[in-house]
Amino acid sequence: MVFSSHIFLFYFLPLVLAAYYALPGRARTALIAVSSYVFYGWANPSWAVIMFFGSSVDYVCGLLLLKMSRLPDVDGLPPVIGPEVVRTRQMKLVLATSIVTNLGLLAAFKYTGFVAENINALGALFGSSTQIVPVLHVVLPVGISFYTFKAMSYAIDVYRGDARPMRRFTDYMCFEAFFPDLVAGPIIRYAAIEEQMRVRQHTLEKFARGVAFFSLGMGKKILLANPMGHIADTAFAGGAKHFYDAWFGLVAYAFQIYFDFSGYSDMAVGLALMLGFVLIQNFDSPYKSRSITEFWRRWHISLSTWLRDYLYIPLGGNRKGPLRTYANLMAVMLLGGLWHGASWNFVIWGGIHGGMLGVERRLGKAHPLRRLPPAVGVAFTFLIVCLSWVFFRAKTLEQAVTYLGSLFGLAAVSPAADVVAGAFHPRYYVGLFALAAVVIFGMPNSWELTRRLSLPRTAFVTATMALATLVMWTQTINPFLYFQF
Amino acid sequence: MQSTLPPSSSAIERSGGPTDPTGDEQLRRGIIATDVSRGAAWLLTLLFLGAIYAVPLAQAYLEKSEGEESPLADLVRRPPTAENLRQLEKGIEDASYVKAWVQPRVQLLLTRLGRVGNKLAVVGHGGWLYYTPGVLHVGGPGFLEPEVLRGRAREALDAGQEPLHPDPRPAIFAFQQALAQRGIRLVVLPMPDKAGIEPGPLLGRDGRVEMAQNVDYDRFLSELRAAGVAVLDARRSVPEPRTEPLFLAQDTHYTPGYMERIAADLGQLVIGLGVLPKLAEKPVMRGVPQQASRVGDLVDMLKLPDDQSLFQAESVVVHQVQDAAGTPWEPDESADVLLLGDSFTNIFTLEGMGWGNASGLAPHLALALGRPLDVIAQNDSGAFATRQALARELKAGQDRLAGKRVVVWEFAARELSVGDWIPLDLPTPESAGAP
Repeated sequence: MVFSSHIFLFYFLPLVLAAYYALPGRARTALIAVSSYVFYGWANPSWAVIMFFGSSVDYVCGLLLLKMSRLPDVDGLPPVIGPEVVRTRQMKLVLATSIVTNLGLLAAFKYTGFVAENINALGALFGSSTQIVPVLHVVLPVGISFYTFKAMSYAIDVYRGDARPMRRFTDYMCFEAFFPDLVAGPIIRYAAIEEQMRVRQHTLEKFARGVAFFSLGMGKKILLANPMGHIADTAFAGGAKHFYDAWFGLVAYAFQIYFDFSGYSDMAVGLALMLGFVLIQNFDSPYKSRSITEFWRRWHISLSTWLRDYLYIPLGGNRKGPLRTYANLMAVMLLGGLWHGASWNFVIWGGIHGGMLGVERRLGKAHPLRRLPPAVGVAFTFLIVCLSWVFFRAKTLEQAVTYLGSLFGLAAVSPAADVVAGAFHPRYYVGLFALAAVVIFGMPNSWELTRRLSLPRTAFVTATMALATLVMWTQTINPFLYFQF
Repeated sequence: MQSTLPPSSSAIERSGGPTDPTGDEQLRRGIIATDVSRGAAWLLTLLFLGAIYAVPLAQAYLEKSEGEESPLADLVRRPPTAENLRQLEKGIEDASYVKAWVQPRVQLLLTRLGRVGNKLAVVGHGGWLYYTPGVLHVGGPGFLEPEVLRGRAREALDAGQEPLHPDPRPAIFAFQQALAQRGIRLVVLPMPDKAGIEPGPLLGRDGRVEMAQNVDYDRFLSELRAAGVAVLDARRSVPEPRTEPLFLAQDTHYTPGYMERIAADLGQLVIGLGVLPKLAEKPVMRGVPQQASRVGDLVDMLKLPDDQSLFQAESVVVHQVQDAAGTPWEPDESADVLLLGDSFTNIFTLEGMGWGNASGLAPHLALALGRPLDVIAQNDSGAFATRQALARELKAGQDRLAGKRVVVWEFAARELSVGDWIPLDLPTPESAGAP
C-alpha cells in the first residue's frame, strides 16, 4: 500500500483515523500496531510474518536485558539500565542475539544472492566453469533495511541505557511496525520516540501541521517526483544518447529522488503528527549544500545520524587520528552504500561520497571553494552528487559507464537516441523540470513552509493536495523509490 | 539506581527520551511551535478530512443507489493472499465513481495542454501517439547485450515472478529445429515499432527523419539468417520515396498500404524458398477497397472521456480479400503455410479491432502466395503466445502442423526487449510426419 494511492487515502487512512480517535489512550497504540501490520502485509502477507518474527526476538531481548539488570520498576515504568549496572556477558549475548537476528534477516534477504554471485565471479576468474555457490533469488521484503535498523536501535539503546525497555508487547509492535515510517523511514531511533509510545498530546495545531506536511509530501511525489521519474526512467532505459539529453535525464533523476524521498518523509511526518507522534526531520534542502559534508547533514538525516551514532562513533569516529578518521568515513559510506542495495554500483556511490568527505575533512578551512561565492560551492556539490547518482540509478556497472560516456559526449549516438528523447521533451515535462529546479533551489522546504501556516499558505497547501489527488488518478501506482531498499 | 524520573506529558514534548542522545529536541520543538491560527488549522483539517471521507462515503451511497456490490466485499469473501489483495485494491480503484469521472478529464487536460501521455502512450506532435514499450525498445540498450539479458532475468526473479527467458535466439532456433524435423521451413517477420519507422512526429521534426532501430536489431537479423532462418526485414518494404504515412497516427499498428507491401514481400520470400508445390487449382482472390474508420488503440490507452474531441477517428482504405463469389477471406487449416501472428496480424482482419475484416496481413499474404493460408493469431505476447497455442494443440493430439511446408512467425519487434522467449517443445503426434 502506497501513501499516494486510492486505497490508502480513501479507505485505510480514514478508517485508522476514525478508530484511533474513537479509542481510549492505550488502545490507540495497539490499534496502530495492528493497522501497521495490515498496511505492511497488504503487499505480501508473508512479509508481515518475517517482521513479526524479528520484532518478537527484539522484544524478548529487551525484556531479558531488563531482567538481567535486576533493576526495579520506577513509578510503574521499566527503568533505564544506567551506567551503574555492570554489563554482564549474558547481557552482551542478548544484545548480540538481537543484532545478529536483525542483520541475519537483512543479509538473508538482501545479500545472499550478491555474495554468491561474487564468489562465482571470483571462481570464474580463476578458471572455474561451474557455479561454486548456487545463486538464490529471494524476493526482498519491502522496507526491511529500514525496519531492521530501527529494530537494532531498540536493543542498542536499551543496552546502552539511552532508553527504557518496553514491557507491553503492543507498544513494541507499534514502535517497530509504525506504518508512517515503516517502509521508507525516517529511521526512528528508539530513544527518540520511546516516551511517545506511552504518552502523546493531540492538538488541533499538530493535526493541521500534519495535514500540511502530508499534503506537501503528496504534491512532491505526484506533481514533481513522478514526472521527473518519467524523464529519468526514459533516459536511463535508453542506450547511448546526446550529452544534453543525458544531463537532462540525470538532473531529472536527482530531482526525482529528492522529491520522492523527501515527499515520502513529509507524508510520514504528517501522518505521525495526525496520530500524535513527532518524528524527526529527514531532509533539510540538501541540494543547497555547499559541500558533501554539509550535504550529508541535510540528506536522509535519519540514516546519516544512525550511521554516525551506531557505526562511525563506535568505530572510533575522529578520535583516533586523521588516517583512522578517513578510514572510518570511508567504511561508513561504503556500508551506507551497501545498505541501499546489494550491488557494486551502490558501493561505488558510497565510495565517491566517502572519498569526498575525506577530501573535505583533509582540506578543512583551506578548501578552495570556501573562498568562492556560495553559489559555486552549491553548484560544485550538486555536480558531484549528480555524478554519483549515475551509479545509484544505473542498473549495472556497464550501464553506468555508458551513461557517464554520454554525459561527456564520449558515446557513439545512434538515431535511436533521438527516439527516446522524443518521449521526455513535451513541454509539460520541461516545464515541470524548471519548476522543480525553482522549488529546490529557490523555495523554503516543507519544515520551513509549514512552521507558519498563514491563510495564503493554508490555501497553497490545500490546492497542492487537491491538484495532487486529481493528477494521482491519471498515474499508474508508482511506488516510492526507497521502497526497494 | 534510579536514573531519571518519569517525565510529565509536557516534558515529553520537549525531549526525545530520558537521555535523548539523538539531539532531535530542536526539530520536535519546531513542530510544537507551529504558528497557525485556530481558523486556519480548522480549515486545513476539515478540508482534508472532508475529502478523504467524502470519497468513500459517496462511493458507498452511489453503489447502494445503483444496486451494485462493493468490491470491498471480497475482503471477507476471499483469503487475504498477496494476489487477492492486489486484485481487491485494483477492483476498488476501478469501481471508483470519483476516479471514473476525474481521471479522463484530467488526462484530457494534460494531453491537450502539455502533450502528456501515460504509462502506455507517448504523445507526439500533430496528433500522433506512440506505444511506450515500443519507444523504449527502439531507443533502449541492445536487447542482446549480456548485461541486459541478465538484468531482465534478474528483475523478474527479484519481483517474485516465474523465471524469464529474455534471449529470443534460443527459442527461435529451437522452434526452427523442431519445425525442420518435420520438414517445415520457418520464416520470421519481426514487425519494427512505429517509433522506429515513423520517428518524425515523435520528435516534432518536419520532413524526412532517419529510420531508427534498436542497436542490436541488425545483429539479431544477421544471426538468424546465419542460422538458416529466413527473415523478412520489414524496413525493406518501406517505399522510397515515401508518399504517405506507414503507421496509423493514433494506433500502434501500420497502415493498410504498408501492411500490403509487407505481405507482398513476405509472399515473395516464402515462394522464393521453393518448398511450396504448385496447386492443382489456384484459388481466385481479389482485394476490394473498403473504408474503415476508428480512433486508434493508443487513444483507448490514454483513457480519455468518451466524448473527447482531441483525437478524431482516423479513416483508411483497406482492401478486403474476397473469393470470386465475394465471400470475405477465411483461414484454412488444411493450408500448407501457417502464419503465427500477434495484433499486427489481427488488425484489419479481426472485426473486434474495429478496422474492418479479411483485409489484414493474413489475407494479403494468401493473396500474394495465391494459395490458402492457416492462421493462429493472438494479440500481445508475440514472443510465446502463438507458439504456446500451437504446442497446446499438438499436445492435445490435434496436429496443426500436418501437411505444412512453411510456418511464418510474425511478432512485434518490441517483444525482443520485453518478451518472454520461452523455449517450447513441439510434441510430435503419432500421425504426424514430414510432408
